[in-house]
Amino acid sequence: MSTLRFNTEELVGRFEDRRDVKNLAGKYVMSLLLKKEPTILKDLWSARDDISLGVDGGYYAGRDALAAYYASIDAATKKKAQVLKEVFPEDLGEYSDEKLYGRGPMEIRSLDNAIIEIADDGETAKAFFYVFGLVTDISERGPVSNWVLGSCCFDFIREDGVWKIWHVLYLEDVDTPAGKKWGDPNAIEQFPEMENFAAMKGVETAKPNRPMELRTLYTGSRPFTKLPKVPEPYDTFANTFSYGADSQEAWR
Amino acid sequence: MKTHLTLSQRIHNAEGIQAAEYLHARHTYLHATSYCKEEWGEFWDTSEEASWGHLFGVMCGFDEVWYNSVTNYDPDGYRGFINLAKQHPEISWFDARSMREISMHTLATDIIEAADDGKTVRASFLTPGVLMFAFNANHHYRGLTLWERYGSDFIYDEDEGQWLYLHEQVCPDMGGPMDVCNPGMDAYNKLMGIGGAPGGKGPGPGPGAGGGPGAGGPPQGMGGAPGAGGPQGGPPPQGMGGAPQGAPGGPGEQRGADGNAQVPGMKIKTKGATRGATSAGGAKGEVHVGVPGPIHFNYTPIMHVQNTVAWPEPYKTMDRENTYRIYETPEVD
Amino acid sequence: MRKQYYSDDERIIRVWDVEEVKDLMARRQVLNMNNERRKELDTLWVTEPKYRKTASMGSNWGYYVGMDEISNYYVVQYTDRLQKALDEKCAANPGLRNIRDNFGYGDLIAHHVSTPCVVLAGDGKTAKGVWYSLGVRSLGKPDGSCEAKWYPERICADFVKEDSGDWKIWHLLISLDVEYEAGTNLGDVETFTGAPTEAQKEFGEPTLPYVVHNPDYGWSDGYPTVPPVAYYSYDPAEGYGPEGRPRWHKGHPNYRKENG
Repeated sequence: MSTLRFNTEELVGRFEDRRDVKNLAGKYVMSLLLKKEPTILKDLWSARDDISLGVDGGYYAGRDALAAYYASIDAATKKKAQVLKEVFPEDLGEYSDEKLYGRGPMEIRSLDNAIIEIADDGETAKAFFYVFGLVTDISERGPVSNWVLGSCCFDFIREDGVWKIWHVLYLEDVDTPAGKKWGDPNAIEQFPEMENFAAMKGVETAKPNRPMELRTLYTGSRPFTKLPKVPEPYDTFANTFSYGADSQEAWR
Repeated sequence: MKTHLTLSQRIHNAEGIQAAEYLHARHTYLHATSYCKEEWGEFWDTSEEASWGHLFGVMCGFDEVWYNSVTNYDPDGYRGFINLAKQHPEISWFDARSMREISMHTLATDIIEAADDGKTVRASFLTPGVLMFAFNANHHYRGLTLWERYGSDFIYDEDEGQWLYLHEQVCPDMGGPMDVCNPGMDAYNKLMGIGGAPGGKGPGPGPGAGGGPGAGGPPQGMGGAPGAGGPQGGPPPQGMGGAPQGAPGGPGEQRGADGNAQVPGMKIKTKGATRGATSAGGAKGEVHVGVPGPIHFNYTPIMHVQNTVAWPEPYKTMDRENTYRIYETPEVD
Repeated sequence: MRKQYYSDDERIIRVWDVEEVKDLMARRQVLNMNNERRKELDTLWVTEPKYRKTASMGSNWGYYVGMDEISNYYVVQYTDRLQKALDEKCAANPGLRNIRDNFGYGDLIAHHVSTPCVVLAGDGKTAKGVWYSLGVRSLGKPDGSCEAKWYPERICADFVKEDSGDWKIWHLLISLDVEYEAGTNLGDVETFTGAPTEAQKEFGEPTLPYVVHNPDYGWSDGYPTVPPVAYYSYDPAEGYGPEGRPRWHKGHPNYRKENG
């Protein structure tokens, strides 16, 4: 990042781009909070086929894999609402499926510590954010809130003049029940399974179609693990690293 | 890129976007310092259009905002300072106003848009927070975690050539005693009328709750702002299944011993004044709201995530479709 | 400060100056979280001699002054601590190699920052800023368990635009309000114990020992001054370096005779 290489008009445009991609990153995590999985692919992601989402357990690589992933979350969201309807018949018993949709989870993943670079050619952009979250979800243990700490990195691409998400690399270091001590991988066991939420057992979302260990959750015996690589100034995407599924440079 | 605007207009809007981030941060740090006169007096629009909203309603017009957030706020701080000075005479060296709670509402996930007409800027934030009460008569910290969302509008004052705060809507979602609460499970337990587990014991009142006049060493969970409160002060202990502050009512509120994180004694009226605690620090007097709440509800497992402060979209000018000002009590489902 | 007027060219440069300062702090936190402390000092801190001499890294208990002193504390002593911790872990775990790559084994550092509040000087040569960090640091123990602690902090800094045109960190002040274990009740943490916290012990023996901030009284001791106020040109007495430290009068609870 340097102001010396650009004229005034370019600097103005680059500031607007910077704000636009930061907004887009914000909309991404807000969409997860607001349970917009059914439309997130269409609304926020690039139309390209080489889009990808990397998580601790691997990559959802390609449009079909991401579509299947979001569809599985959509199905799980519906299931959670149905279970809640059974647990709270007085409150929710009369509600339609549409009215029930989205009840239960509260997945807050806030983004801070932003490092953003716009390519000199203005066609792509990259961003790193730290993730500090409190993710509440419905499982066979009922509604449990977890502290979530990690990072969320983006490659953005401009399509028809509009910024879109190309690659996301979302890696968690901490995903542990709030109110409990950290570092115990079995900490969730402190929240016993509940009979009235038993129907949630076995409800899972689609697994990455390119499974691989990108990161392991933190414990007191995990080797020191650096954050993913952060964006550096670059001229064009071919001359920088990628957060996409075809490159492991960002997290190795 | 906003190439349909002139370069000068675009630069003006870039400054406005940065001003929104800066002014909100400035507001936040002043709030944590309990410098309410500076928080509300230095960079707010002082017209009737100004508004500040919370769960319990919307304060409409700058005078109402000032009354609730300054006139009604500072006395509690001074009362607490006077009470604590009996036990700790050395605090006469310190700043009385900032002796109270440290409300660390952090700003993250900012989404900011400037109007094409250059007159306003709109911003939404996720706000992970910690509310700490460091100086307490019992010589222990107290603390809460609090997760909120903000929707904020800013306006350009052409006469003064500066950006000003215009509207704010605060949406607390969940929280509890730091770090022994599990807000999801606690909310479920409240709905089911299950007390206690698994959140653990609470540290005390909700943020900024007014304390009673008594000094001395109250047990955990009984103190008031800023730490010297007597046993009668403030909302009920947290951590037994409740979020830190809330408005009356809400789905499931009738269940459980304490309802959904309610402030005792706070009653919604169809018009005019409401009595209760403000997020700005627990006024003990009446809180005047032009638009009565509830505007937003704390999390419960049977509710949607309310989109009370939807992120701003690109817009031409501020209007009813593009504002965080709430003019009527919304229907919340 | 009297209102300044700038051309369009100057206005967008000033907008970007603020963005660069925010970027600088974010990069600083990443390098800190990565235990890349040498790289942080070499790439993000001041390089010109006049600034290197007066650079400072402060916390509640004083200041390290000058890049050499900062480096000794922040990198050399820290590396020694990492080595000692690794020695203990290797003694308990024979399968763990005692090599530099295993420094920080079992540790997690998460001092991420938010809430940037940056003020650019009227003359454009310096800037000041404050950030919140709801940070966490967890240290692995020899038995493979860990102790995670919350570190709610304000991170304050003065920045200077060097002759190269690059913004650099000049004075850093980390104001810690409490440290306590994750998953435990903050309400159980005592104030006024007089005992040094782990953070204080780690801060070692600064160049200038001083009570910069006393969290027993919350923020009522009034320092560091946040948010920073608008200014035209840099005044050391108003900065986040040692020359800007609060002057406690005799009798003030933060006054220490030995500190002067």
